[in-house]
Amino acid sequence: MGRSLHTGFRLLMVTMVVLGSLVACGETTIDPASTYKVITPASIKAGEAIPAPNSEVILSLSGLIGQTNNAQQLDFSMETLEQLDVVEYTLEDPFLGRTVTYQGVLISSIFEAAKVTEGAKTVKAVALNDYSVDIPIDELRTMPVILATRIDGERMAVADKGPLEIVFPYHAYKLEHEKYVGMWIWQLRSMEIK
Amino acid sequence: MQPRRWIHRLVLAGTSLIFLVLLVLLGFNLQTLGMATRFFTLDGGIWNPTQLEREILRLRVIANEISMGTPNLGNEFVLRRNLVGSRINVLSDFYRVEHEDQRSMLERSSFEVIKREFFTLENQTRFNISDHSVQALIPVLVNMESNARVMVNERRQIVDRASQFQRQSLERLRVTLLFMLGGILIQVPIFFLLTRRRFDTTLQKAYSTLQERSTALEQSQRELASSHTHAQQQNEALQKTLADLEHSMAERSALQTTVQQMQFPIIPLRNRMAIMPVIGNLSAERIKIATDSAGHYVEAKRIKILLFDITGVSAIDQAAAASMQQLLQMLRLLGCEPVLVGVTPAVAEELVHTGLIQQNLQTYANLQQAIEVTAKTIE
Repeated sequence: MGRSLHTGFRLLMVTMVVLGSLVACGETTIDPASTYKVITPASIKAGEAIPAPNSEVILSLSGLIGQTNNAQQLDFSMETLEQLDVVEYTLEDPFLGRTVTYQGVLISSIFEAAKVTEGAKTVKAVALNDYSVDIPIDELRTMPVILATRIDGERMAVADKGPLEIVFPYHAYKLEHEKYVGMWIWQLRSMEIK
Repeated sequence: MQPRRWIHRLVLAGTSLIFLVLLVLLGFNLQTLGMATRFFTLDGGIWNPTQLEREILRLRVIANEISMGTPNLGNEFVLRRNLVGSRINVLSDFYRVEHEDQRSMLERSSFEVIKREFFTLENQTRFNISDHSVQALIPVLVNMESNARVMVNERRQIVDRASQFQRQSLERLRVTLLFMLGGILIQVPIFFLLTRRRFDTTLQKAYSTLQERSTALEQSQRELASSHTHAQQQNEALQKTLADLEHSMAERSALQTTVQQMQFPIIPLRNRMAIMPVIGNLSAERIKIATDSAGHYVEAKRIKILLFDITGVSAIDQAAAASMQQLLQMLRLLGCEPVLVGVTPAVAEELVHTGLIQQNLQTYANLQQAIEVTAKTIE
């Protein structure tokens, strides 16, 4: 009786350890679509032509892209940019030290619209102040990274790190700030796909 | 041995105390190291002040061009001005988020000057950007630029001090760890010695206990052996007593036989004649003894006539008379003629009553007469 009880207890413990290990080792799969809320559905579908901007150009894409509207690059005004999916999520901004809601366009949507080629590996993001950083393109495709155009519903002025800022979904993914701090680029002006 | 043990414990306690102090120092060094590390991050280093200085320089370049009459630079001026404002905001946010002002007084005052001058510049260029208005702002920009340079230099010195502090902390950390290692190297042998001593003491105690138990066991074995010997001796004594008893019983039995035989002595006379004097009351049991005695004697000596002298018999009961009759018949079967001598009137009456006289039994009044008559018969 005692021996069978002991064996049963050991079996239970081993099972718990194995299950715990499986849970600990297994990656938690996050559905990107569950991490943001769609504010405005896209009026320009993927693959459709992006019209050349009539107003101020705020973003230019160049490099390994399949769609252009200004020589070898694809220009966006704020209006054309926001004709793609506009989404939002709320997170703790590590630079502002407070919780804010960012609205913007998924960078993966911009890539689809620009028809970024499959072989592209890196995005060189350049800011208005000429700061630049290389971002692995997989980081931007696998996670719902947005190009923010609004903070707490308001447009972002250049003095407030606007008009465009790349925002990483810190609220949904466990991301090391030391790794992503340089990629969290504000006052974005252009992206070169390499 | 005892003083050395005391010294060992003292050394162990002392090194433990030092070890504790070293641990505290280690924690302190790690904490200060962590604090110093903050100055080597992107925002904690000279990055932000450098960027601010850079944006101010760019704005000043544009302002210079505008003041020299270069056209169509208004938007560029606004952009550069906003970028300066953005960098000021970023720095303000950084200092606010950090919750602890790591700046020197000089850096702090320089930043306040820059913010104040920028507020002036922003107000004066909000609606009108002309070469005259911008030219008037050049001294403001120069002041901002020099203050930004002060910030950069100050921050660089802070970072250098942090770097030096980090090196010192690392050195202290190294020394602390070396001392801790030394402490471990001292403590381990002492601890081993003390533990071994304790182990030896425990072992000695266990050995002593074992010896005591062994001695007690041997004592018990000796007592048991002694008891065994005593029991054997008692047994032997008992056996001897039993043998003595048996011997006594045998002697007693022999004596009893002798006594029985002595009850009925048989005296040989001449010509295979013998006489058995019978004294006292005759019972059936006594006559049986007499029968055995007479039978053995007659057969051994081949007696022809046995005289029963019953002069000393006072009385004979009926059972004894019947036994007497059997005795007489047995003697005749053995070839011996029984003769009764000294019959008293009471005995005679009983003999007649039992019919003994009717069997041709010779009887005589006295022993002399009986001997003379029967002797003649044999001759």
